[in-house]
Amino acid sequence: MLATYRIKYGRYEGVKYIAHLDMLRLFARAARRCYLPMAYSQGFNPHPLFVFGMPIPVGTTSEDEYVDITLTEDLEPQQIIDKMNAVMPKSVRLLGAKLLPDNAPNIMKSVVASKYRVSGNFTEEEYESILKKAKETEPLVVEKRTKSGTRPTDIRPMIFKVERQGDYLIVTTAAGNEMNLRPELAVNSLAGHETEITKIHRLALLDKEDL
Amino acid sequence: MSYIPDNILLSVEKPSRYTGGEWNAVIKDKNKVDIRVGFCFADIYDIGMSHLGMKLLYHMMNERPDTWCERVFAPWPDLEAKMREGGYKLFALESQETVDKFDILAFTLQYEMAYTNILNMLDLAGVPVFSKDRGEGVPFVIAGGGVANNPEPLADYIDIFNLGEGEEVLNEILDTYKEWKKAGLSRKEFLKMAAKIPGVYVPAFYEETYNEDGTIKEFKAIEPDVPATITKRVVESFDKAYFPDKLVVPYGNVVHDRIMIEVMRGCSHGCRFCQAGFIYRPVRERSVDTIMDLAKKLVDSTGYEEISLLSLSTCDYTNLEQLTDALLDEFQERRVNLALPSTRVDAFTLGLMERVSKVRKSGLTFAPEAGTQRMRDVINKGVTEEDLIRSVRLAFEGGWNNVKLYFMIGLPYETDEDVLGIADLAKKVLDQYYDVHAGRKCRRPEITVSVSTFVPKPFTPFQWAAQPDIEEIKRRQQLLKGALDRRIRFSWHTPETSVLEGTLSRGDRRIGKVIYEVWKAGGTFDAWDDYMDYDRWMEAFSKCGLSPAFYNCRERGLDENLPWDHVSVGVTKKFFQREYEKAQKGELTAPCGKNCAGCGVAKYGRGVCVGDIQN
Repeated sequence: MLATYRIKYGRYEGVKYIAHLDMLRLFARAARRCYLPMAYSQGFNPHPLFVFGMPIPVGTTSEDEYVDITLTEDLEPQQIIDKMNAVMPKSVRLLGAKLLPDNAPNIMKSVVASKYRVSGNFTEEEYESILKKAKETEPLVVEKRTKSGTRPTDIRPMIFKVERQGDYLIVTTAAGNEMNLRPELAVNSLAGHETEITKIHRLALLDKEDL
Repeated sequence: MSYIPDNILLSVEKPSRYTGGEWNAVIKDKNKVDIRVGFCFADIYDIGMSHLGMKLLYHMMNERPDTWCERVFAPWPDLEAKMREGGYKLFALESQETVDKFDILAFTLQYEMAYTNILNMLDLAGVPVFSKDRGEGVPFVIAGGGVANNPEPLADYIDIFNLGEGEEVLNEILDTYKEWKKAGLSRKEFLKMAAKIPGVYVPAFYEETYNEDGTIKEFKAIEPDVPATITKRVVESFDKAYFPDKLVVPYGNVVHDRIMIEVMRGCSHGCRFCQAGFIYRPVRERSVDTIMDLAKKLVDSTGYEEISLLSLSTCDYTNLEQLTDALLDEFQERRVNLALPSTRVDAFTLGLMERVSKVRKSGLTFAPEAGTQRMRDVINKGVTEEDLIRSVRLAFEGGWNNVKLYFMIGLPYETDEDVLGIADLAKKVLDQYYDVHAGRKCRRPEITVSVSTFVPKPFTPFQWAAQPDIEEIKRRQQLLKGALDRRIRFSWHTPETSVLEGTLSRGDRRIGKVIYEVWKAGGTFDAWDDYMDYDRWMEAFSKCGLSPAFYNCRERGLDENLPWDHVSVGVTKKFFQREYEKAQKGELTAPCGKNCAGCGVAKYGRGVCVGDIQN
């Protein structure tokens, strides 16, 4: 009896530089350390049945990442979280788990946006101009990397919301399979120049209803 | 928090090399330890974290409540440039603190081409590169590992060498250090105290003089009460010797990323080119029980998906079948693979192959080392063409189509016939593939011939031998290339690095100046083809008034003083001489367990020499 769980996890400072593939290995090894009954793929080179969400850029921390893991037996979701957290480096934390019904949609299916907390050495003028520019509606055309190379793109439809919270900028931009905009490009484009961003933290992945 | 700021880390390749925090990394309270050790590997994280010796000694030192041992690697040139620009110093991964105030910086020496990196790391740490320039309060720089057996090229830079197996001597050095620190004595006093520990060599207490022809006139102590000969250490009992039950599990980036268990130390075969085969004698094994116990603890503590049974020749392990069966039984359900890094063609069996491939299939590697029987006898490889053919047939019948064959060229007494013999042998292997599949439809065979250039090493019967020069090596490579069947993949290296290794590995104290000049001229990461600059080395040689050919292209006289004569690895010079003479005649010497050839190592009273393999 295979059971698939959707795990929500956070990746913090200590692992923000590790690559997407490394996270897969990290989960697989932690699962073996805590005797999680992993299910494996068939075939020549069996690998654990993990499906990770969209890669997060190297250097970015997050408290809203997802992975689907398939086990060979039913476990209490909280048990999975506790077992795994006991054998994970401190900078990776499992935050939630739920049993998925059969035919559950892919992790990234409904995601349309991501909310980030951006820290940086911004001047008051920068805060002001960023927030002001964010409220405008005319096209904001910048050089953006796409699948077919760098080209002028209107990123206005990809910026959903920009707020200031103390020294932080809370930036919601497009994410997912349809459109994707990195928050630093949003902030720098709104400022009209390269700002001194120090940290980017993903607060939440959002679907249509959240927007 | 990382020592290197985020904006710099984001601008360099693979920043996770520098941030530590891996599972099982040891974090201690720095205020609660007496000794802080920076365990340095003179290459990047990716390479250093693949090295078992470092893992073993790291965890061993951290077992001591009075010591915090941290890992230190060379930053890749992209980060180094930014560190120098921003005034950042060499740092340790665990604490993310600079190492300039540590008590001890311990280097493990694994290959000669890392020499320039050692100087560079010391400099980046803010530690004077020359031992003589280090004052009070500066860390002691110690070194050990295989390449330390000829310590002279680094004599000016290393305060203390430990020779032989580090497990016990390192603890004795730490005990002595604590005693010294408590007594508040001078820097030199510690060196004198350390020099009394068996297996410890303090180069500053000795002096080397030369004859007019450049050979060594005399090597003598210039300090009272230091040993004339420094004899390598061998652990009390190999089966009971420390082996970690946990390993730091990297996030990624690492060449050998798996559990490694050292099942055996030493090798009984006595291949005449192989330094490891002599310096790690006597042959000793861990018991199946000890290994199983370690394996269980290591899988539990690391979660690794593969266990590699490490040794110089794992097929010789006495109870290999019992061990591999027990490991498969234990771990198959948890999907842990088994790997054997080196397989001798004369010990290859289908059973063994199936055990290793049960969980996953990979390519097979065999090392006949030479192309003709005459040449294999010269090097005392002790395997025959029949052995190889039998092994590859078994492999092909078992469904493998991917076989890699390792050879060397430039060996002493090698003729063109021997070089061409490699092509013949490889063709015979290819023919076996088609013969096994006898006209049936089959996958294309992937046969690779990988050829390295022989480097004469100290503490081998070929320590007196000349290495061919670059032009001659290139000619032999081309000769082989032209003779190889086109369906066989040929892999080889440019000979420059091997030739430099030839000069460094048998170098004397004067070579140290050459290393310095190369480093001063910007040389680092010489083990990396893209960074090694042969001309820079040649210029350094000429600046120092030394001829590289003097070190590598000259057959040395049997009565000549060799730069490493004051080191004893237990094997006598007489034995090496006998073996050198037998090589000329193509005479074989039997492996240790079969017929003791009297190499001298029996004086340790351990292992195969005394019929007590687990001791």
